[in-house]
Amino acid sequence: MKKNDVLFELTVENIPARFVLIAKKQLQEKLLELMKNSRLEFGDIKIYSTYRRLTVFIYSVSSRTEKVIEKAYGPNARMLKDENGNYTKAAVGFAKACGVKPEELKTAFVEKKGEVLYAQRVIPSINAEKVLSDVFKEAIKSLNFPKSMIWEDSKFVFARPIRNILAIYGTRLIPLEIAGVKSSKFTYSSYFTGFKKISIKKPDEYFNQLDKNCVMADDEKRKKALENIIKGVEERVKATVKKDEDLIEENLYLAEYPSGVLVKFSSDFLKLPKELLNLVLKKQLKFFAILDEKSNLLPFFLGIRDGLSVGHKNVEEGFLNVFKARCADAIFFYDLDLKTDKLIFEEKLKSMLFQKELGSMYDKGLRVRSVVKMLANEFKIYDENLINASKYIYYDLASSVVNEFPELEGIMNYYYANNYGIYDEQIKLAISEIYLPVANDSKMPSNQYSSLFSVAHKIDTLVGDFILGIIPNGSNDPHGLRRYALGIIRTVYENDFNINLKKLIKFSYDSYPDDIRNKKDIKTLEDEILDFIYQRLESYLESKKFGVDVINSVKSIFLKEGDEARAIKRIEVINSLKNIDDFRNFALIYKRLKNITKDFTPKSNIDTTLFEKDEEKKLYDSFIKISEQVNRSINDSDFKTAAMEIIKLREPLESFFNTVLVMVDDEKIKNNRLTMLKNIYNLFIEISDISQISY
Amino acid sequence: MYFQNLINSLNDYWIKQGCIMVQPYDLEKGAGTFNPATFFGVLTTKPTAVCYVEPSRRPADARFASNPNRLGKYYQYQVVIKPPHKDIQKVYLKSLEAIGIKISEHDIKWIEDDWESPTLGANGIGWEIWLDGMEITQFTYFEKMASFDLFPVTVEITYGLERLCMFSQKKDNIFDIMWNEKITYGEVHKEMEKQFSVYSFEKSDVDRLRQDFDYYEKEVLRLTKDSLFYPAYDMVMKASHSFNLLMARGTISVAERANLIKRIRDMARLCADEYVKGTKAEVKDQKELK
Repeated sequence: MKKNDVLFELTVENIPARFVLIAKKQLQEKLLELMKNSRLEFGDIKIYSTYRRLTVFIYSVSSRTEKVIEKAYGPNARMLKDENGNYTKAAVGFAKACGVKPEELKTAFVEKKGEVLYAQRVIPSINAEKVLSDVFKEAIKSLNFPKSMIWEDSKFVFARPIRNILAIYGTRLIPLEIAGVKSSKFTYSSYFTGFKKISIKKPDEYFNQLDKNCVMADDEKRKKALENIIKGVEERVKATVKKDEDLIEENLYLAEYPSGVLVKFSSDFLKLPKELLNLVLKKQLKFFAILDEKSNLLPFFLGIRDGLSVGHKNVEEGFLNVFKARCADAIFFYDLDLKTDKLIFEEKLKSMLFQKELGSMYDKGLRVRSVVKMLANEFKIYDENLINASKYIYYDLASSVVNEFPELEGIMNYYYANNYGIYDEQIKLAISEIYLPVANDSKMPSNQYSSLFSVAHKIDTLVGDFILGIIPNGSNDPHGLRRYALGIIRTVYENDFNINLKKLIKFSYDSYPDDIRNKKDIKTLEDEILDFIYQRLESYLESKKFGVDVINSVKSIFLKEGDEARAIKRIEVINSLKNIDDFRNFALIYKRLKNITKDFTPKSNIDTTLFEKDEEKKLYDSFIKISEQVNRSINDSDFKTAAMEIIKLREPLESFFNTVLVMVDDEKIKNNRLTMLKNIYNLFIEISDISQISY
Repeated sequence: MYFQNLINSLNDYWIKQGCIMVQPYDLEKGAGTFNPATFFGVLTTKPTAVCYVEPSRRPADARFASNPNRLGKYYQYQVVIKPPHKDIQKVYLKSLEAIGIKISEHDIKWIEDDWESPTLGANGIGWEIWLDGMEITQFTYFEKMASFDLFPVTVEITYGLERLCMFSQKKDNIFDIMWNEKITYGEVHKEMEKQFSVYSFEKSDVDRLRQDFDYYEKEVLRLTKDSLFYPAYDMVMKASHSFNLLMARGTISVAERANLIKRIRDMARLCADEYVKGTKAEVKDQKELK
């Protein structure tokens, strides 16, 4: 059959980058599904987009669907009509299921069944334009955006108003109407060429025609162009353009024909904090910062313009002016903050709510301070300067800069530190890094004071929320507690910030006033938070390539001890041993040990006088011999030595199981044997429940 | 293009597009959207097309005339059309050509910016329009006003006149804009700007402003009972301005701010209710759905 390519282009008023990407993904999936059900043959489906176009190519589509004859056999022929000559319920039902009228039913002979009802339905051949019309209508209707609108009488729902539809199959129009717009064989150029009408005669001339009219409709090609612009600028200024992926993506969907505008600015502006300047460039202006080899900002930026180079000077001048205007604002706020007395920040903090039941940000600061004190004592780094500094960790929240640029919370404390009377570089960093790490792979607190402040800040929120029962579930985590928990986990592990989590929870709990503490007892709180942290720990360690079985084998001991560092040490040991033969064999016998002692709780000590067999005595002696060493090693967190000792019990255990029957009738003897086994079981459980290791 | 000619050109252009040119409303307001022509105009299904200059006051944005880009009092140019033209984007871009900006020689970006006015209970979907990086226009399809769902949608196009003029005259300081061939914007407004900055940040009578706010609120209740929604709406604008002045003094806590905003929103809603009743407009009531 003859085949042709399909071109469909939807023109809409400007849609933001994230919407375009959502639409592309949904459209790809939906079209594939619809085309598979369409009875048309088809090849690849490709989707392209700009900020105002969604373009679909479907290659090699057959010109019509095949005529199909569907046959179906139903109930016995006698069931056609009842004694009154009316169609029976069964016959009507069968006809309906086959999509025919009861009078169209025939009878046919089927072997072993005899004469039965028979229906035949002819699905006629339909031309491709007709089928595709329905496919596109359905596909476009199915798109879901984070935010949509209605704008015309049919009340079609879409991200932004649809203004044109180009739809052709080969050279033929695919007739359709969406949101009051009828399809045509035309599209329009971009605004800077005056929305010129462009006729598209067949799909394969689409890109060329648009290119001629200054539209790069292919995202990949546009991205290449953008990368070349960046490369060109780098060569020109002999420096690096800060290649922020988000920013590249955003610019990709802000221009149909990107061209670069390199702008030089006065180095006076470099006096602004670099984080602030970066934010002005990226967030407020969508411009690319340019950096020297030490990642310091240089007095240049790269702006992306939509259009040709006509009037390049205008644009360059405009970009510079708007940059200056934005910086003037930033400088105004920054200077204002530098002139503001810290007591004014303090006053503002008192009126800034942390959470209704948990007081103001000032109150939170006081609690964190008391946790910092306890932690500093614990780590024996108690220092008056440090404790005093912890008072200021939230002060920048009251500053004008953070009010304007919330992303700079924390960071600004570094720049305001002198106003707080803090001059020590380490401590300056500490008060500016309390939110770190902000994401899974982001920067960690850079020194031990930073770690301390950051952990104290996070545990306060966790404990407060858990006391109030604000516990994340599903996608609902309004205060980012999962991120906070992960932050603590990473700081403990990656920064070697070795604090027992139970102790940490207790410190924070004690910093809350009685009326809050009375809402939940410490034991329940510990259990809930440790369990919550464990879930994060599990996925964190999974990302470090540890097996779930190995991780889970230390779950109960972690929940009991609350010691993350020890839990991870155990995991590392088990992971390194698990494939050694002796270990594996011990693990297998350990499972047996676990099963047999599952429901047993020892009520007395092992009574050696009740031993009947040598194997019993031997096992007992081996157990006594190693247990002291094992306990000492576990105490010293030397889990490897402990594990190696315990697996020595494999042989006596095997002999024991081979010769001794545990479940004997004599209760005393039975219980004595179970007691010994349980003690052995309990010895290893202090390292890990290796019965969970899967082999 | 001189400041006064800019206004004239926009008037001429939008009048040609079928807008009626109304005049600024004679009360203080934070934005052109507060003008009754917009506030009430969008609530009905009746087609509307109006344009006007609107002096707007944002006390907290005042900078003692020392910032080259910010003012506590400035001018907006407002276009409100319902239903909007199918090629409204093109119609808008042509308005820039009408004031001497050659589109092909500049960079224009439509940046996602859904607009919301919690005090009016209004929101919409739209963009900031950047001309060579500078935000010159807010372009919004209204979806809600005074908590009423709106259909058909209204497009609101708001130009920042000073910004546009700075751009057109290549000035980097608002006060250097030429009003006509002799007089600068600074000569017309600088002293006023300074005095109002002092008033807004230092001299306004905070206690009195709070009392005024309460009084206006009472008036709204009293007047809407008699279906006098126009005078009542004046009181909403006055309350909103008192609130803005209070905000500029920095004496309002987060919680109080939210509360005051809600009170203004409720006032605006009462006026809209009466208007809709009075004109029997076909608007869907969203109150119950919330």
